[in-house]
Amino acid sequence: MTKVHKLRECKIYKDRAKMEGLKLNCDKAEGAFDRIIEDYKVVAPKRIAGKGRFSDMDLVSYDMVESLSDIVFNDRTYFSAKSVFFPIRETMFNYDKGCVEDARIEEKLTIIFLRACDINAINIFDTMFLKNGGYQDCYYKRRRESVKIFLLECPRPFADCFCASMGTNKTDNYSVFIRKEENGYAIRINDEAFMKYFSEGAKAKVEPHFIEDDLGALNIPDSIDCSLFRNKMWEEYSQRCIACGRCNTSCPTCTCFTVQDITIEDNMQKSERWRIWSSCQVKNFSLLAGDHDFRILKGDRMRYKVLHKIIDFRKTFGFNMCVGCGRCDQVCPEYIGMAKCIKKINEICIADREEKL
Amino acid sequence: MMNNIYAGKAVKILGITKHTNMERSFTLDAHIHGMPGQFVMVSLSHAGEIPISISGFSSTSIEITVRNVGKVTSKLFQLKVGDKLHLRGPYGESFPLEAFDGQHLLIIAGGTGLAAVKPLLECCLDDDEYKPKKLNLLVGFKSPKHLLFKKELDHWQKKGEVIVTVDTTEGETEAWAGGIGFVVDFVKHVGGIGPETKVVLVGPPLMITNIVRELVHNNVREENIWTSFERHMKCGVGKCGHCRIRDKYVCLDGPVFNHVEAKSLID
Repeated sequence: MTKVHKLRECKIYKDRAKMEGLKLNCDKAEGAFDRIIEDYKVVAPKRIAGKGRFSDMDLVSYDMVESLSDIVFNDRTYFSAKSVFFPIRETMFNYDKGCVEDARIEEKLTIIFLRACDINAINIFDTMFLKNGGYQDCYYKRRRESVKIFLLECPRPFADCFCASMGTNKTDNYSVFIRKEENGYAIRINDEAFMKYFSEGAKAKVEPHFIEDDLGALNIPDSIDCSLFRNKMWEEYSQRCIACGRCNTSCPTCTCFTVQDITIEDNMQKSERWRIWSSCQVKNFSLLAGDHDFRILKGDRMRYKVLHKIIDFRKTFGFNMCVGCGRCDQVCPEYIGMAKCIKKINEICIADREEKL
Repeated sequence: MMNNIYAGKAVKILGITKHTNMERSFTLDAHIHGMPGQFVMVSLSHAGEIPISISGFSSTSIEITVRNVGKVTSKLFQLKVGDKLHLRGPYGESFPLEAFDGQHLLIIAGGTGLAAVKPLLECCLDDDEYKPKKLNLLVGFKSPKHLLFKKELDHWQKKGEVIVTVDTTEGETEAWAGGIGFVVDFVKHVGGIGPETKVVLVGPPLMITNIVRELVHNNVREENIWTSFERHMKCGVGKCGHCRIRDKYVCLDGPVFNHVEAKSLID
């Protein structure tokens, strides 16, 4: 039902024989990686000791890495990597004495290590920022164009993941795939630009394994009836949700932002226009001048978010916005579950249909 | 320089009309070929950027009408003729002018909503391309001192059937010749309403709900009603996400929606 959209991003290697892959021992792989980081900034999952959510727990988070051994291959990150191409806050314009100038950035080529779900999430970002309404967002575009993707494999489905249900479990849109093995690394090169870094190693057949079945498979309803908007199921979220917005900040496909002008106190001639991540779960997301507001109940905000992720976005673009990474479930301080919510919606849709028959 | 969709063009303020303490119209030196119902993004550094509907066109300028209720508008109210602001647009879908040609058209507006339908009125009255066979305007304000576009209302009154109402005349010293009460109560005073009457409705959400009910009660078909939505917007180009309702972006797919579609757009 859900189509996975193709990224236009890498030049897929024409000669398939060369794509088969390589096996490298740790030293040789680190050598190749050293050559890569001369040309690229590398962002990958990294273990940050003691910074986890609970005591004595580490945080696995996206960060700059300088060695392959820094990369955490087998754990999901708490946040997604979206801040690389969509910073939490970013200057759009600089104003000085009535003159306005586009903000400049250092456009360093960046490699991000991503799982299949997160690679498919980038496609949703591309859709919003480069396609929606026929307008291209230049701030996004310039960062996005400097990004190359390396694929990480999932050894097993993580808790609350449901990528297979969302159709985001597979991808061939990556430049290089790297798997950590007992005595080294298995590598598959999909993008000619990276061939030059891997001159050593034994040829081998390297294919990434993708998750085929979710621990809890979900059915996504094709469409919903307007009566769902008034269903009592949303009341629980009104009670439970504290409108912290963590589900939005951790989500690899939440693209909303707000815009704010910042005045520099010491120099009233100067100001900056920033764009900042915005959350549809937090108060005032839709507040109008004159204080008229929409979705005052948190249950309505949950409904707004969830239906966008599984129904409304698909109506326009043909594929779902949720990639089933399960992060929103992991970060929620009130233990609200996206997967559970989708399940409930599907049950209501089935019951509705049966009632109508 | 990048092709920046968020970059406005500096335009000069050519004139300012004070309607009330809270509402002013600004004539801007902008050559924008917009259509009635579209909006522009108005930007002032140190303050921000807001969507404002275009309240008038000429071949060399546009007019916007602003209610002073926020950070950007209060800064805008400090500006004088000759000052500059940044402008981009026009954005959004316009009113379907061709659907009104040769038809009975009823335009209903509440308060500042009149600004959004003013270009439509002017187009129907002064242009020859799209001519409704009968035009009614029903417009309501809080009180006589809240009236906008008094001069234009007089002009329109000479050319079409116009009902101006106020919610109350309490505390007014001057006599009020128009209607008193909510706009919805005056729908029945509009002559010739029937299934084929085309209605354009702009105002606060509650007013829209009540008037749609009254119109349907008067046999107006839902597909003959159009409304213009007001939503929080930060970009105007379908990126910021704030104005989204279901699969529609008010900035791209609206602000004008046919009621058949509008009623399925639950925020």
